[in-house]
Amino acid sequence: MLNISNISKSFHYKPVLKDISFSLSPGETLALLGRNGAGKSTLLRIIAKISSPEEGQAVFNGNNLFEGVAAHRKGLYYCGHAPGLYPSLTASENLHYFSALHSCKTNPDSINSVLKDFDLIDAIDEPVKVFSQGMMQRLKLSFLELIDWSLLLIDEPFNGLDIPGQKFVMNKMESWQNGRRSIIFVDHDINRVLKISSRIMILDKHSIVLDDPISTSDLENKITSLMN
Amino acid sequence: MFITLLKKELFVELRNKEVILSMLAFGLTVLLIFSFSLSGNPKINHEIAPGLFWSLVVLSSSLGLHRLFGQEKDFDAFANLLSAPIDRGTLFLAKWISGFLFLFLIEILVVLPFFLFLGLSQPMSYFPGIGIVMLGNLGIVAVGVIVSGMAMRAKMSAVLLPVLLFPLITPLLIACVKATTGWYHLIPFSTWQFWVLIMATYVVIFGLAGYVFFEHITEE
Repeated sequence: MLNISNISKSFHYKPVLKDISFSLSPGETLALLGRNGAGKSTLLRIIAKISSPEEGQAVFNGNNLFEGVAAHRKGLYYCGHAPGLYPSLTASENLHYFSALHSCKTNPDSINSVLKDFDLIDAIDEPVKVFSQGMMQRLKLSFLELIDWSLLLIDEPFNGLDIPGQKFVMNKMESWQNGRRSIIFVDHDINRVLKISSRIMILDKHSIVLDDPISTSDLENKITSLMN
Repeated sequence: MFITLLKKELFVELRNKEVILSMLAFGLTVLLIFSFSLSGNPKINHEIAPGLFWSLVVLSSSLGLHRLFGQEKDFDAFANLLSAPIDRGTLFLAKWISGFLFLFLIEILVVLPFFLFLGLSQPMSYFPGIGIVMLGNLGIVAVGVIVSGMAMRAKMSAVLLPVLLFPLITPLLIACVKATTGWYHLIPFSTWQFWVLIMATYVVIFGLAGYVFFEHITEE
């Protein structure tokens, strides 16, 4: 599904990523761990074609993402650290607009049902700028119920969520995984990562220092020692 | 997809009125300053009217162009736009046309006070003037969207935009003033058609450059 080879990136001559290579198969949920500044968010932004690498290739469903062909990004959805929404538009307007950008048609019923599911129905006509961080996070994730995606790149999906909200997103991430989809997510909670991912990758000093499936023996200790 | 993007641009602006109101308030203030600082001699005002008009347009437009990506910048909606399967050239076109429409609307709103405050005589024919203004707007906004897209991610984007924009549009502004002078002073078209050609060339070059290179301009 996704094949990343030799990606390198630097900002102001300071390396952020060095020679990153890995592959992702359909059905995999890859957790990306690492200290602040390890390059996790940058890697997601490069795959999403928001940032450009100095070197390397990213092939998604057989197409080179860096060729700049818009259709090659079909099926890929990036959910960044920031809300990524239009502050003056309402929840339903944001859902309608961004779904249209992904060529998915919505109707008021489908939007209402998704917002109800994500406990945002009471705020359907409120502009997003008055939303709390947790509400924005849930709204951002609710797009995934409306659009047709096969690769999700998600940066800290539990950020700003309370405990029930975190449980809700964990359940959602499990339900989204239907064997044909892949997810790459950034998180800092080792216990949570061990519960919901099928594979764990750790970035340190701009390179991959661990890339193991969840079934690897003594993985938790390995992760803890690397993260400390 | 272009229609979806353009509709969103217009809808967001109608909801906020951020770009239009800031340009209008600034434009009317500049106009008021012009009308008080000039001698009040209609002959002199008639002579310099084209230059004053384009000064007003360029000053107002720089304010509007700075906010053209404001809504995308606030919550990083731009990242979602860039990662979506839409052609970035189409993104540029939607910004270009919406910016053009906002600027044209401001000009419609200030043109009557412009003639009244400066005591100017009405032009003999309106259509060539409208054509010149539209062409000038297209050129200014094309350059503006490119520069604004480049400056958006910079920390000092408010400073960077005018610093990059004004030198780039200076030749276009000269052509705009010359063509407007030719039209308003009833000079035969053959003597100022050269300036219209320069304006058209600007629109084509920067329109194409924006469409083709917006992909690279917007990436981090």
